[in-house]
Amino acid sequence: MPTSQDMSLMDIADQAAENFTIALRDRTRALMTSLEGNDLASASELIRQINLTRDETLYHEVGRLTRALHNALRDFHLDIGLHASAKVEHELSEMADARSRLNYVIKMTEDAANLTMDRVDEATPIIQNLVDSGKGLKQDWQTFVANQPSMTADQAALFGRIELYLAKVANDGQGIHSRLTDILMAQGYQDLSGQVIKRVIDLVSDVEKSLVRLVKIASNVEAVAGIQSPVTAKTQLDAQQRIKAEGPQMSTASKKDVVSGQDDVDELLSSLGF
Amino acid sequence: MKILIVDDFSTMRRIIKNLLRDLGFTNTAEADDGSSALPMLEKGSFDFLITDWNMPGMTGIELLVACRASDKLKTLPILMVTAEAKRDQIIAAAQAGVNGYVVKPFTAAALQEKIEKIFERIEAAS
Repeated sequence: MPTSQDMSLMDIADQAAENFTIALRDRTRALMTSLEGNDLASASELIRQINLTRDETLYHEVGRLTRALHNALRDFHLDIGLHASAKVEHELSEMADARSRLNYVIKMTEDAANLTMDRVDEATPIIQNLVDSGKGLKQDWQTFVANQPSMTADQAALFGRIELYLAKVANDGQGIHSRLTDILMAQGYQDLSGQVIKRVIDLVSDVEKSLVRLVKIASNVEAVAGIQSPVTAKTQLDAQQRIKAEGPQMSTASKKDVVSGQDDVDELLSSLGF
Repeated sequence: MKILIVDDFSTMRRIIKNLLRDLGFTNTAEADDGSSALPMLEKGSFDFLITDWNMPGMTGIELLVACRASDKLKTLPILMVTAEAKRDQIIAAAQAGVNGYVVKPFTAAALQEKIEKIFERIEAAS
């Protein structure tokens, strides 16, 4: 999130670069004139000035970079331990806070999923009991009705309704049972969302570590002036990570190397002779 | 039939355990990653392993490879139930000797079908 302070820092940096270009252009023109006029003394003085301006600009830019980094770190409330011998503390940083919030989400969803499954576990035997007793009672009822020597039309109609009701209890009970299974399956969201959140937690940790490292480098201005960021061979890394666990895939439709569902998995496996 | 369920999320272990109970498999045990599952498998008399892939410590694919390298566990039927959905990953699991692969989120019917299929194949082979 860019703050007004960041914007002004960027403006200053642009301004400095522009000033340097203008100064360079002016002096180059003067240098050409001096050389054409064979005035070597003023030509070498101009070259000295160009070098000086370049060094000054570079020095200021490095200083600004260092300050910007410090500000960024301060905004994240990172205790970077630059001026103390204390080890880098993460506990109070905003990033550590972000991590604990995300862990809280995992905990809350886990509790909710478990509560849901507790209720499903309680409801399942209740329904099963209704189904079983409904079935048993229906059989006994049929025997009882069959053994009646005589009954009125009203009685026959009522007995019929009771028999239908007992059949319905058994039947609807099965329907409820299968819906309870669906509710149970739906709790899998906790695993899938939890895996994604764990990945974000790791990312936040990595960003935090990188920022702390950057500021330690920047605190030494000379080191910053001579810094050369190491280039990692990304393709090499990708190849190594290929068969590692990646967690749930998002927007699978746009990814060619990701299966879109169980049918795709089955197709792929059967093509492999499964 | 003794079944070991391995997943780092207790929610998922519970779901699979309940589904297995509905299918009539009540003798189950749980582990939260490969490194706790492997000694259980080596010591115990498990007939079937259902494992996740992405777990801290020892992952499911590492557990699969370790089982296939063990004399005792090389023929243990293994079903992978995982969110890992890349073709390369499924191929890697197949090459490592997995018996079935169910991608999350899955349905109760899909799990049942894969389990039945695995046991049909084992019976046909014996």
